[in-house]
Parts: sequence; C-alpha cells; structure tokens
Amino acid sequence: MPAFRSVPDDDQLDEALAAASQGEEWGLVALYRWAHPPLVRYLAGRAGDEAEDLASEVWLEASRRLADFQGGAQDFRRFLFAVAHRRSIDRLRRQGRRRTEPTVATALEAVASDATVEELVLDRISAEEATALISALLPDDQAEVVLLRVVAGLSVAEVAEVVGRRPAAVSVIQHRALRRLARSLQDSPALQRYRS
Amino acid sequence: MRRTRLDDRTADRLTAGAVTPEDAPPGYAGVAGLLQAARTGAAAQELPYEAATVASMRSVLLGHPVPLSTSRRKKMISKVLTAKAAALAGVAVLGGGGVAAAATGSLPASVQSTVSSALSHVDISVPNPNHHGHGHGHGATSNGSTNDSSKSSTAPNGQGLKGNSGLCNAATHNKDSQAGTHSRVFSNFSTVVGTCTTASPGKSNGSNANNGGDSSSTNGSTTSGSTDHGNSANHGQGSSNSGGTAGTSGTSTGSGSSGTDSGPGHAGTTGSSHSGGNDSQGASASSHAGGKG
Repeated sequence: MPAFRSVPDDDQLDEALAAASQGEEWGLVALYRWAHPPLVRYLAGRAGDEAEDLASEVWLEASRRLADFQGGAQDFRRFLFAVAHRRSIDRLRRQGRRRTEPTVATALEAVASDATVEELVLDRISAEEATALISALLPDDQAEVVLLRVVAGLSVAEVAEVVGRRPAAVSVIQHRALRRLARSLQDSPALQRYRS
Repeated sequence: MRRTRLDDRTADRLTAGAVTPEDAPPGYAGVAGLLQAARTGAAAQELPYEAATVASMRSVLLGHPVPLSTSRRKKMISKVLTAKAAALAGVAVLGGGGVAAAATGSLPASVQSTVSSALSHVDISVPNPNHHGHGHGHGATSNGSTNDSSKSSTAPNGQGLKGNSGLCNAATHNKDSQAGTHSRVFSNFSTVVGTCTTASPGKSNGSNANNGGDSSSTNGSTTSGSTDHGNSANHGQGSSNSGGTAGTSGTSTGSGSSGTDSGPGHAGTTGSSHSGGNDSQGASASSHAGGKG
C-alpha cells in the first residue's frame, strides 16, 4: 500500500501503525510524514538547531518498541512525544543550558521595526517562527506545556502524562502561559528586549 | 487592549487551535494567531532524511540491514550530492563507473550512519558517525577474496579530514576502478581538498574511523563485524560498527552518550560496506555488521 497522499484519518493511521510494526515501509513512511513535522517543531522549540538530530534519535528509539507497541496511532503519537520530551531534557542537561538562543534571534529578526509582535503574528508568521516565539516568550515549563498542547496536539491529560504532572497543574500552567503570551505580544518592550 | 479573564474551556480551545484571531477574546487575538501558526501542519510529502530514517527503522524492526529502495537510493544520492557536494564547489560527480559522494557528515548523526550504510551498497563511501572517536581499527575484519581488496582497503586517508573522507574514498574508488581514466572532477580533487592524497593510513587519530584503520590484513571469506549495536544503545556505550569504508573496521569506539537510552546514531544502523568502484568487482570486500539496534 502506498503512503497516503493527504493527511490520513485515524483509521488509516492505525492501519499504517500496524503495518509499520511489521516493518513495512509504507506504514513507516506514513507515520513519519504524519508525526515528524510537529516532532521537529516541538524539538526546535526545546533544543533549537539540534531538533533534527534529536528527532532521528526519537524515531529510532520508537522503532525499537514499535513491534510490541500496544495502542492506536494517537497513542503512538503521545508515546513519540514522551520520548522526545525525555530526549530534549537529557540533551539540555548534558549541554548545561535550557534553550537555544540563536533560534529565538532568528525568529525575531523577521520582526519589522515598527510593528508590534501581535501585528506581526496576525500578519504572517511561519510555524517555525511561531514555535520559536513561544519558546522565547515563555518560561521553560510554560513553553513545554504550550508546545505539547499546540504543536504535538496532545490533550491536557496527555500532556500531564508526558511531563509527569497532574492535569490540574498543567491547566494552571496553560493559563499562565496564555496570559503571558497575550501580555508579551502586546508589549513592545518585550519585543525590544528580544530584538536586542 | 484590555484582556478578559480566560475560562478553562476557552484556554483549551485556544491551545487546541480552535479559536481564530477574529473569534478570540479581547486581548488574545495575537495569541490565537500565534498558536494557530505553530499548529500548522505539513503536507504529506517526502521529508528530509525520510528515506534514511525509515531505512534505519526497518533495519531495527526486521533485525537485518535494509538497503534503500532503488528509487529512494537515487533520491538520496541526489540529495546528498545537492546538499553536500554543492558546498564543496561542485566537486561531486557521477563519473564513469565510479560514484562520488561528497557527503560531509553533517546529517543528523543517526541518519548519517544509515546514509553511510545505505550508500555503501552503491559503492559510495560517506562518513559514518559511529566511527567517530578513537579510531583504533587495525583492519582485523578486512575482507576480500582477492588481493585487490588490499588495494581498495588502503584508501588514502586524511589527516583529520572530517567531512572530506567521503570525497577521499570516492576519489580512491574512482581511481581504483578506472585506472588512468580519472574524471576531471577527481583530477581537480586534490586541488580542492588537497590533504587526503598525502596522508598516511592510520594517522588520522580517529577523527573518522573510516580513516583510522590500518586495514592491511585480508581474510578469504566474509567476516562480520560488530553485531551488537543494541547493547551500545541501551547502555550508552559507544557503538562499535564495522561498516563504513571497505577494509576498515576493528575496535572503533564511538562516542556514546550518557543516559539511559541510546545516543546519536546507534540504533538500527548497520555497517555494511563494499569496496571498490563499480568496475572493481574483484575487490569484493564486504562486511555486514547486522544486528538489531
């Protein structure tokens, strides 16, 4: 069976997962095309330029467990991001830093001098730039929750499982993150600070 | 603009991308736009590193090396040549029977390992990150059914030529397979890269284990190298991979990563190498280091 030409639905993804667990190429390709773009964006928000490298590690670890994987494609997606979460933490700990600043600078270089960030966001911004902005404007724990919710598409309960917190705590973090984003996007000083 | 207080449901809808800037609560239009932008999906098309990553995953799942399919191999060669060779002033060519790959080893580590393995099936040698570290290979598992194997295994090696070893090896293969008929690119190769033609084997101090081996010994039959990539992946040890350039192998100890899981480029990567160019069939050195990662 060929890989899907458009975004597959859940049934197709489940089918692809079953095929992938048997080592069938089309299934692996379908899973990869479905989950890799958000995976890389999430990792870019967490580890900057090393996102692609980390993502390949995540996929290889996932493949080791794929044969015995229980669950559907959405479960696999959650599992994939849980691995990515651990990998990014390991990587950042090893490197003794929290986030990659060049990514932030790159994202904000595109900001026009006389526009607020909010105007720019509403005007045009790529997924990569949006991810970088989220990472730049939020503290680490808030950025983690927002990226898992928004980029990975996980529910609050799933995010809680991935980050090892209770769902209520994740909801609180989410609220704080949204308030902070709203404030940052309206305040020019925030823009000036990151631009400099 | 004054911001309203978000309730849980609105917050969930915002992060779920279900709120457009126009429908967002006062003060949250920018947030809605930002989150929607971050959520933008990608088209279902082939992605960078897809072929190599999928091949690696299949190798892990099936427990044996999985070469790229012909179409994917061609695409990968094209990508490698485009992305890497272009950076080296066009010193990449598919010339005569020899195939040059100017991979500089800058793919993601685990992908690079698979690229190295996969392209070796089409007689292209590119750096393998699993060989980084202390290149103590002494050619213990260099194989070859004819004396030609020694020729192919004595690739001119660079002195710390990280990133250029692929070119060096490719140039050598071209040389071996087309004696006296070097392509123009390879005739210019030493001008561009220079050092690999003057280096001595075994002197590269492990910058790339493909270069580090003194692979002078030959065995009459194929001998497998490391078959236990999985251990290195699980214990954070460097992987020992006998793949890569023909005739080099041995006790290469890669730079493993700490932690409970594998570091870059461990799982599913399998060493497999063919020596010589397309025309040097006699030098049938091959070492397949299979094993489940």
